[in-house]
Amino acid sequence: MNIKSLCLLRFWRILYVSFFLFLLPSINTIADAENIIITDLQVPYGVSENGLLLQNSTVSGLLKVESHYEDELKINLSLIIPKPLIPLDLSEIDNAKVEYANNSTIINNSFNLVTEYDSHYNIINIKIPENAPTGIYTIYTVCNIAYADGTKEPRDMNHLGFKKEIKVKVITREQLQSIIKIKDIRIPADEEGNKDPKAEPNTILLKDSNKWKYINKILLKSSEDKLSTPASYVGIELENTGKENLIILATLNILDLRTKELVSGFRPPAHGEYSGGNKVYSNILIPSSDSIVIALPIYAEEGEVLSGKYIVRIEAKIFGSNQDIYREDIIIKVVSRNYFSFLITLIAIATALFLLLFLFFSFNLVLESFKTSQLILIALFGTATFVSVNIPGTILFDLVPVLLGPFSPFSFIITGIFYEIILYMLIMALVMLVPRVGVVTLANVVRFLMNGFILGHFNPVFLLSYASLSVALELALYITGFTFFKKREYFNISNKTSAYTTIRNPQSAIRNPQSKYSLITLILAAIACGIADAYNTIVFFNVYMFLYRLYYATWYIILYVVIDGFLYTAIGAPLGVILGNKLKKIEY
Amino acid sequence: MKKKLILLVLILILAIAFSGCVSNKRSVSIEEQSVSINSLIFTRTGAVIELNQELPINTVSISNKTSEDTFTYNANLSKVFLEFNWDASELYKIEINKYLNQTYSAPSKPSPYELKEIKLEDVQPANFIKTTSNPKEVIEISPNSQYAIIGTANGFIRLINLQTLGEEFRKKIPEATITAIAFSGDGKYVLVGEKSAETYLYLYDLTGKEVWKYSTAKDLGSASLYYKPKITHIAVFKDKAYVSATFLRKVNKVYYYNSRIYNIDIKSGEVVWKFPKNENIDSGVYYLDTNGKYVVFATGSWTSGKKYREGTVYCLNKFGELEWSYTIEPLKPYWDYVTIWYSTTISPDGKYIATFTSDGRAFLFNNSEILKSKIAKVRWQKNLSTPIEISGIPIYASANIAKLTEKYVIFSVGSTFNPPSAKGHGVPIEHPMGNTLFVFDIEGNLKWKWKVEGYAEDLKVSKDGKYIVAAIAQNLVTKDTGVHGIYVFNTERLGGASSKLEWVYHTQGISVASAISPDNKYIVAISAPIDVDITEKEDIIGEHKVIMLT
Repeated sequence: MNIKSLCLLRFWRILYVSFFLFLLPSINTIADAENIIITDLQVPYGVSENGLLLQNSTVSGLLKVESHYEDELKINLSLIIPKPLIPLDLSEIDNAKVEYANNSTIINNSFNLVTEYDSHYNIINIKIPENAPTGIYTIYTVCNIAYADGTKEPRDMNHLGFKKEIKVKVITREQLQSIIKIKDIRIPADEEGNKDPKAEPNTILLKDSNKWKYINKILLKSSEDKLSTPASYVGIELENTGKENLIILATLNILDLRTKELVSGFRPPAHGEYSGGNKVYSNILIPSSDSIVIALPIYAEEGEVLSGKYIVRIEAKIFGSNQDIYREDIIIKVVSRNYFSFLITLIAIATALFLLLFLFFSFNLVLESFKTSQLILIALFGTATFVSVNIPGTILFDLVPVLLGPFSPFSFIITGIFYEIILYMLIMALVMLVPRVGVVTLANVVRFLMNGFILGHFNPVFLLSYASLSVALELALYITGFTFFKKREYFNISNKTSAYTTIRNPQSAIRNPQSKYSLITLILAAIACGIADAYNTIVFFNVYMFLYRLYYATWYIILYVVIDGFLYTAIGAPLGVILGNKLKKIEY
Repeated sequence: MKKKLILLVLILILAIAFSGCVSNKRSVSIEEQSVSINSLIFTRTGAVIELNQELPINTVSISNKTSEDTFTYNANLSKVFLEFNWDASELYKIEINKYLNQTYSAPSKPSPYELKEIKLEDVQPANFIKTTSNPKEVIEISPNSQYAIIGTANGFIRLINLQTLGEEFRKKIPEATITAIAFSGDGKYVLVGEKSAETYLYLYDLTGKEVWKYSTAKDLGSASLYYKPKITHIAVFKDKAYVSATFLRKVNKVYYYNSRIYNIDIKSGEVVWKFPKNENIDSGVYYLDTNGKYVVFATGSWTSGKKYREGTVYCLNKFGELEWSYTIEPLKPYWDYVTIWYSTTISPDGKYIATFTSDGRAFLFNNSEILKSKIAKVRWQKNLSTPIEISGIPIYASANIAKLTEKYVIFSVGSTFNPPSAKGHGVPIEHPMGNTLFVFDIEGNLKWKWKVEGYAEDLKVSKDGKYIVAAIAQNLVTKDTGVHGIYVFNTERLGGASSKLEWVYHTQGISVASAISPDNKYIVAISAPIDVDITEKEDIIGEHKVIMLT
C-alpha cells in the first residue's frame, strides 16, 4: 500500500468517525454516560436500596443494564461483591470472568447493547454465610462504555466509566423476626383477606361440583363461572416494624394431616390468576412501620378433595431469599356441602310448592270465605307491614353494617327490630282483628308482591322464606287456637278473660270492646310466633347456605335464631295482641 | 442625520401601506376580516388549519422555499385538512383565499389530531390490577380507508364513515360478544364473529343488512352452562374469509377444546373447506393469518396430551391441505403445555412465518425453505421473556402478539404476572423484559426495542409497514394512568424507539383496540373505563368511546 492510498484510507476513516460523532450525541462526561446507560442493581430482587440479607441464606438479585442510546455501544461491566458474601452460579453468567481480590469478588462481563432500550440482565445469586458479621455492606458495579462501530469493533474513542453502589444489611434470623411479624392468620377469609366472623373458624367449604352449579344457575341465575374461582382465602396480616420497605413472599401449601405430603387436589388451576407455575403465592410490598393483609386462595372443589382435616402451611420469606422467616402450620377442616341444608331447602321448596298450588287451585274459594271488609283489612295490613318493615329494613340492611363496622355481623340485632318486633306486632294485630286461617298467608302474599314489585326482591330465597313463614305461622296460630275456634276453648282458662272471649268468638269480642286479654294469651302468642319464626330463620339460613355456598359458624346460627328468630318475635307478638285488641275497640 | 431617519421611517410606512394595498387584490368583507388562523397542526399526512370561525374557502396554498401546494375547496369551513409531505423545522407559509396568510415552522415530529369521538354504550370498567378484565373489542378499517367497523364486548357493531365521521349503522347482537371483525376484500361487506351459544359468523352489507350467517357451533358443540364457543379471528384475502373458532370448557379442572379452521366464500356464505375436514382440533386456536396462498395458525392449550398437540404451528395451502406443521415443546419445568395467543403470522410474500409462545419464546420459520425441503425447522428462536426463578417462584411476562412484514418482525411482551392477592400494594417486581416491544429484522438482529409504558392490548401494522399503532392499557406495576393511550411509531425514521415514536395520544381510560387505515390517513381506537381504586371502593376514570384521529 503506497502513501497516497494510506492517506486516502485515513481520510475516509476520519470522515467515517466524524460522521458517527456528528450523528450521535457525544458522551463526553461521566454524567452523560450515566444518563445513557442505566444500571439497575437489585439485591434482593426488587429492592434497589437497603436490602436485608439473612445470615445462612442465599439471596437472588438482579443486575440489569439498559441503553438509552440509539446506536450500538460496547459495555464492560464489573460487579464487585464484598467478602464474606459469596457469589454463586457464576457459570450461568455469559462470558463472566471472575477475579478474587482480598476483600471482594469481582465479576467482569462484556456485551454490546445494539439500540435504545436494549438491555442485558443477569440473576445474581449470593450466599450469606452463617458467620457473616451483621452490618452494612456495599455492592457496586463499574460500567465502562465505548462506541461500537458498524463492524462491532470497539473503538477507544471515548472510554468512560462510572460506578453505582447499593447498600445491603446482613442481619440474623432473630433480628428479622423482630422486624417482620405475622399478626394474624384468618381462615376462612374473603378475597381482601378479611375475616368473616359469621364463618366457622378454620373451616373451608368445598366448591360446587358441576351438578350443584346447575341448581345454582337455575335458582339464582348466577353469572358465568370463572375458570378458576377459589373455594376460600387465607388472610395473613403481616407487620413491618422496620425502617425499610420490604417485599415479602408468602406461599400457601395444603398437606395431608398424616403424611405431611402435598395434597394434589388443592393444586391451583393451570392458568389460575392467583397462581403462577402452579404455586399459590403473593409477593407484597410492606411499607416500613405498616401492616398489610395478604389473601391467599384455597382451591378446593368437590370431587377433587375429600372432606376431612388438612394442614395449611403458610411460609413467609423475604422475596429473593431461600430461607423462611416464618412457617405456620394450621389444621383446617374441609367440609362438603351440608346435606342438612339440602334437606331443609327441599322441605322449603316442597312447602312453597304446596302453598303455591293450594293458592292457585283454591284462590277464589279462599277469597270468598272472607268478607270484603276483612280482605281490605288484610291488604291494608299487608301494605302496612311492607311500609313499616320491608322499606326501613331494606335501607337498614346496607346501612347498619357500615355503621357497626367490625360488629357488622351483629347488625341483625338492629334490623330485627323491624323484621321481627314490628312485623309480628302488625301480624298479630291483624290476627286479632281477623282470627282466621289464611289471614297470615294472604298478608304475606301482599307483602311479598309489594316487596317484589316495588323493591325488586323477587329472589327465590325470599319466595321460599315467605312460604315457609306463612305455613309455619298458620300452623302455630292454628294449634295455639288463635285461628282455630275449638282450640281456643281449650286454652280458655277463664271465661272472664276477654282475650279468650275474643279468640273463642270474634263477634262477641267485637260486640264487647271492653274485653281484656290474659297473660297466658300473650305468652301463647309469644311462643307460637317465636317458634314459627325460629323455624323460618333456620330455613332461611339453610337455604342461603345451600344455594349461596356459605358455611356459618354454629354459634352464630344459634345466636341469630334465639335473638332474631325467637326473642324479638316473642316481644313483637304479644304487643300485636295488645295492639289488635285496641284496634278492635276502634273498629267497634 | 435626523432628517434621513425621518425619511427612512416615512418610506417604510409608505412601503407597508402600499404593500397591503397590493396584496389585497380583491375586496375583503367585514366577516372575512375578522377571521384568523387559530392554529396549524402538522400531522402524519399533512396539516390541519383551525380557523376561529367558519369561512367560505376557495383555495389554500402551503409553500416553503422549494415547493408550493394549492388545494381547492369552495366550501364553508372552519377546519382545513391539507395532505402533503412536510419537512421538519422548515418554514411553511399558509395562504387562505390568497389574503389570509401566516407562516409556521414545522415541528420535528407530527402531532395527533382528533377528528371526532363517539361515545359507546356502558361497559364493565376494567380492573386496575388485572389486564384479563379489559374489555376485548375489535376494530378494522375498510380497504378503501372509508369505513371503520367496531365490535364491542356488549355485542354492538357500528360502522363509521371516516369521511363524514358519522355512524352508518349500529346493530346489537343479543346475548353475544363481538370477538372478531373484518371487511371483505372489496370493502363492500363486513364479517362479524361472535362469542355466543350459536357462534355465528355474520356477513352484513354496509347498510347493516344481514346477508348470511353461519353457525360454527354445529361443529364445535353447543354452549354449556357457563362456556360458549367463539370465533377467534377472521382473516380475509379477496373474496375468501379464513376463520378460526374455538370452544373451551372446563370439566373437573380439565380443559377441553374444540377448534376448527374454515375457508368461507364471502359472497355465497358457502364453506369451501374446513380443517380438519371431519373432526375438531382438540386444542385452542386464537389467531390465524393468510397471504392468500397459505393459511397459518398455531394451537395452544392449558393441558397437554392432545391428539392435535398444543404448541403446533400449522401451514396449510389455500385448498386447506396441510403443507407442514412444527410442534414446539413445553418450557419445562414451568409448564407442561404450550399456549400461543395472537401471534402466528405469515409475511405478505409468504416467505416467513413467525410465532410467539406465551412463555416468552419467539420463533421465525422460513416457509419457502420448509416447503422446498419438506423439513419443518425453526430458522431462529429468541427467548425474550422466558421465566426467571426467584425464591422458587417463576417470574414471567406473558407474550401475546407478533406481527410480520417482509422487512421486520415485531414481538410484544405483556405485563409481568402478579397474583391479584397483592391487592392494594404495588410490588415493584417486573420481569426485565415485561411490557416490551421487540423489532427484529428477518435475520434475527434486534433493530429497535421499546420499553412499553403499559400493557399493549392491541398492535396493528399499516399496510405498507410504515406505521405501528399500539393501544396501551394499564401498567400493573407502576399503575401510572398517564401511560394509557395510542402510540404511533414510524418505522422509516432513523434511530431508536424514541426517534421512531411519532406521537402519543393519551386517553384517560385504557386503550383497548386500534386500527390504521390502508392509506395511513386515519387511526381509530377504542378507549374503555377503568376502576383505578384497587380496594372495594370505586374510582372510575375514562369513558367507553371510539376516537378517530389523523
